[in-house]
Amino acid sequence: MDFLSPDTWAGALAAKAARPEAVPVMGGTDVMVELNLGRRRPHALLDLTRVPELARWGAEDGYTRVGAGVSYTRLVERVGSRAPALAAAARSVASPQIRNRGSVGGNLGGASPAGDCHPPLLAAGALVELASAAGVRRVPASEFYLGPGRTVRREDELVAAVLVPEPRGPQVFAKVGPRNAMVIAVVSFALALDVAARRAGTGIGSAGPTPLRARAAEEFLAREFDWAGGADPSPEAARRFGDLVAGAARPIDDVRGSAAYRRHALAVLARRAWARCAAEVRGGGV
Amino acid sequence: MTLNGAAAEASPGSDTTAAELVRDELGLTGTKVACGAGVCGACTLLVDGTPTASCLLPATALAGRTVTTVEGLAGPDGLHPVQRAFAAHDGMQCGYCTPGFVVEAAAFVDRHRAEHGDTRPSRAEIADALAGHLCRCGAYEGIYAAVAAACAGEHDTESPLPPPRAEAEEKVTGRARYTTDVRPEGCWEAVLVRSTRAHARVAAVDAGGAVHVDLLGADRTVRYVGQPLLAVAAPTPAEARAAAERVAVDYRDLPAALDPAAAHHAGAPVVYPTREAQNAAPSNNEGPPLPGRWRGNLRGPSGFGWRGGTAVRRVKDAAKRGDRRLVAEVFRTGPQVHTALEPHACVARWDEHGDLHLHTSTQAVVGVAEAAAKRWGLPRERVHVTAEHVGGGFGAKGGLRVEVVAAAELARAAGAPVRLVFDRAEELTDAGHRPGARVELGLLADAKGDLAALTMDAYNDGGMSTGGMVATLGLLMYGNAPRRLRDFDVLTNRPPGAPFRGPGGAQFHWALEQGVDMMAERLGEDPLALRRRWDGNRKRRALYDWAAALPVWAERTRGAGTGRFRRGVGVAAANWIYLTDPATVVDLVVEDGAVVARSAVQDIGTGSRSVITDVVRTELGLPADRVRVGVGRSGWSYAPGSNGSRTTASIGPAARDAARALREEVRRRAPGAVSGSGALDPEALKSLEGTQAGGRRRRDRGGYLTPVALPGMGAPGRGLTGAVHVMEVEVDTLLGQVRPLRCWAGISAGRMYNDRLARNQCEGGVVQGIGYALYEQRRDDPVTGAVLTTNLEDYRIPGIGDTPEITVHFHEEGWEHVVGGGVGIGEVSTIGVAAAVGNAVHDATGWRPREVPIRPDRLLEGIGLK
Repeated sequence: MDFLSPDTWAGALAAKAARPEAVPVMGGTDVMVELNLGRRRPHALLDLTRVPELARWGAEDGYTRVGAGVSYTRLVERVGSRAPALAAAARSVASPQIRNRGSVGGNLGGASPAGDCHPPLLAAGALVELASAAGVRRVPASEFYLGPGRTVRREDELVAAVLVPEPRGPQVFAKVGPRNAMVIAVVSFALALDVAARRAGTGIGSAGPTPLRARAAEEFLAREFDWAGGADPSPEAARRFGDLVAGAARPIDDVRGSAAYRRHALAVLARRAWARCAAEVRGGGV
Repeated sequence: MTLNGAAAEASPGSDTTAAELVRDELGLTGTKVACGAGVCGACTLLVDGTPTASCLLPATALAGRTVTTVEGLAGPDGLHPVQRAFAAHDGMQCGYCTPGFVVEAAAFVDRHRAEHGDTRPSRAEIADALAGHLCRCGAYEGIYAAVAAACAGEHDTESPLPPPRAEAEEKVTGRARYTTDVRPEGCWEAVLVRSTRAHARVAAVDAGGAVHVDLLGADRTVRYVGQPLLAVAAPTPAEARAAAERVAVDYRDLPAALDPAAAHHAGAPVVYPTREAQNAAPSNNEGPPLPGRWRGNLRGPSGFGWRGGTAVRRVKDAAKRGDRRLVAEVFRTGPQVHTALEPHACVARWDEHGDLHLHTSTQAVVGVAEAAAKRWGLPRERVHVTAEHVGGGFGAKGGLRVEVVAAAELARAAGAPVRLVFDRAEELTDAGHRPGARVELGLLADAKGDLAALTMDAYNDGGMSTGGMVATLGLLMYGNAPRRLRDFDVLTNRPPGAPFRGPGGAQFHWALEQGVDMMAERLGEDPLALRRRWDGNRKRRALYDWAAALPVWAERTRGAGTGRFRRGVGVAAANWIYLTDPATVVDLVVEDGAVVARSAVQDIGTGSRSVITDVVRTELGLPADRVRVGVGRSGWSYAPGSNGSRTTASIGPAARDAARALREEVRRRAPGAVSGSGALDPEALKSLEGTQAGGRRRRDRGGYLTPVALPGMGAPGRGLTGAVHVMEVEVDTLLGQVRPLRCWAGISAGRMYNDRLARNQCEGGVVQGIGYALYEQRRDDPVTGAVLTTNLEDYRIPGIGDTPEITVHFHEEGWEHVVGGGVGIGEVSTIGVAAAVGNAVHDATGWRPREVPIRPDRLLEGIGLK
């Protein structure tokens, strides 16, 4: 196995162009697990930890651009208020040692349906920036995922960054894990509201072959939400919203949870997310 | 890189992890690898000051970085405060996870103090900081206390008191050496080749020219996915793995029995078709298996009890008349995997004299030596077993196991030392497990509310192993009302079970103790009062009285609550047998001005080294630095294996006897060296070099229940140990999650030899019981029979955040007939915990869980809330 370790972004793109089969590795929190457990034995690893550009973040045209190598810990500490749902998801990742190394870029590169970052990126309408030696393109998160571990990223491309729109309303992220400490998501849910435009975005994690949006639920909430006053939803509306979110999921039974439980828990998370967003609007937090 | 303050150079291969680099190439074996998936945290290093899972870090990523391992945490003023705190609060048991915890905690404590001054963080903050670490012994209460005290600045200077655990400093500094840390010069690596079929005859195996040993039995049949059939060895791990991949196995598939619920049906494939094969079936219990008749895949019943016919008739009649005082229920449990953080491992070497040297992670040093001597036809003294530190056992590391057999055979074939270490997937598949059980319980009370009959049929699911003993434990509980107790084994083509901390006890109490609560409800009686009435034992009555007086019990609200979060309080009792080994001896000698004990006993985290140390120090009035205790070598004085809660009750009295004998010997040689109180003058030891004395485990007053010690069992002593657990939980009725909040553990096992270590072990018993009740579930593929939960993400043992606040209470009276006044607590402290959780969940919700784990989906279905 070759270990490629470029120290510039141009060098990384060139290496990827020359060795498209090379597996990019940032914190190693996904890739190295697969190596250690013998699930995968690539011919080459492309270590991106020495590329300074990937560790940068900043504002850009109404977005916050977060380099693919920004660790979850950094994301929580430095980017938090500019991408609240994403930061909440980052805060919920595994454990401090994993958050110190893992990054959004790795989450997108691996594209595990259980990745914590996907729902907030979907809900917030984020863009994924892909780069190759041939150029750069930006893909909406909602078009990025194709299947478990599969995305629209081409072999010669690297995930360069995500661009998260500046928040225009309350955002929440919640997940259910199998035990209290150190949890991988059994199911997760993100909700992001645009108060001015009266629009809602959703993201569902761990409940389908890819992270999913619940579009019917978004439209329902946009109609029913008390945008001016932030009143709590009626029990019927909350229930309907939960059902629409659960209905958008395509979960399976696996060792972490049953499909039925996942749908149930999603409905609970969704109802609670609505209530929390409403409370934030009421409180004038936005 | 800069490593522990000094420049260091290495040129690791591209597929080397940082953990492998520091351990194998730089020799810093304090850093452990236990899961390979970033879940357990045992491999945590500081990279530029940031805690990092080194098993997930390519070694090359360390270039130019500043790296601190557990060995480098100490500064010029001695240990890091967090290391001192872990030692002082005994935040450890086996110690295998300790380096990882300590490294992460050091970073947390330093940051906390920089940001908040010397203040105590909340439990939740500590739990968050240590969320990425797992301790299977469950030493979390000590860890909470240690981290909080270090943050508050309580351990900035060295404590004048020795730590409660004799080897604490070795464990917090990473100096403690485990079998997995041993890699002698020229050592080869071994890999087991395991069956990929659930049931097949192996027509041929082509080892591809590798140095190998055949591990198949006489009938050349594999009976589960993961069964070792061959082991290969090569000079490096990579070569050994490659050699294993080249092995070609020609399987002739046989139909497999995979579902324990259907394995005994007519027409099911039979796991053991012949008498020879049946007799060769492995046992999942200690000692010889109970007798039992075979019918296809069903073995049994092995029946016990008294007035069994009366019991059955009473239960049947009560069922016919619809008697409300009959509790007839079925309870289920699944396989629970031991999951010691140190995997099964052995390093074997034959020396030039033909002696066999085994360094192995075992809980039976002498047992391995005896079995190895027998197997290889050697005198016992020519087998040298070493287990200086053992990273947990819980029952799965007894006897001569496959890792020892394979390593020793390969070492002979290779003419080199050979090392064999299980990986986590092997550990979670084929290192043994607590068998599952389906328990049919019949519990009948008479008109006065006394126990009128107890019937229990247990169908034990230990895969392809026999030996289930669950219902039989009904001999131990609630007086002498008529009872029929029958155990069956249901054989399947799944991995074999092994003894697990209170074998059978967790399954048994899960059923019985919930049944007793159901009876209390039927009788309209307080569950503690009912138990107190049924259980005539005075020692355990004291525990019921203690529990009844707890505010959480006295002030609890009765009946199911309302609202989303509901609290409940549950209780469960448990009894266990008391064993000791009368053959135990401890020898003392004065060396270099100190009293030295050398015992074959292994310390798997239960504190056997500390028990001997404390007894000798106390008995002879010596300061800590004048007593040294070595353990874990088969050539040292005889001690039993660490199973059956017998170790302390064996070595403690022998150590005291030895200390007293040494005092008499010193008095004879130098009368002035013994004070009036019997203490030795430490200064006089220098002139007493070579003075020796031996001590043995003297007989209890009244003797034992059997005239001679039973092979593999020791002597069953008089009296049962008892436990009463009171558990408070909070149930989230929307998401179905159960959170244990507080637990009180009352234990009756006499005097504790070392109070803090004993509490620690009981706290760990609570944590393991919570894992059993709420999280741990091995999942098998119903089609192939392969275990699916092969990593620590999916086989979920409790973390620090899952730990309730635990209070341990010892009732010490009632064991005066025992030499030393105290007996073992390892098993009784865990077997009733799950039932206490079950009863608490029922108290909170009105729903009775009948199957562990109490998963959220089961709970939601049970309470009917959608």
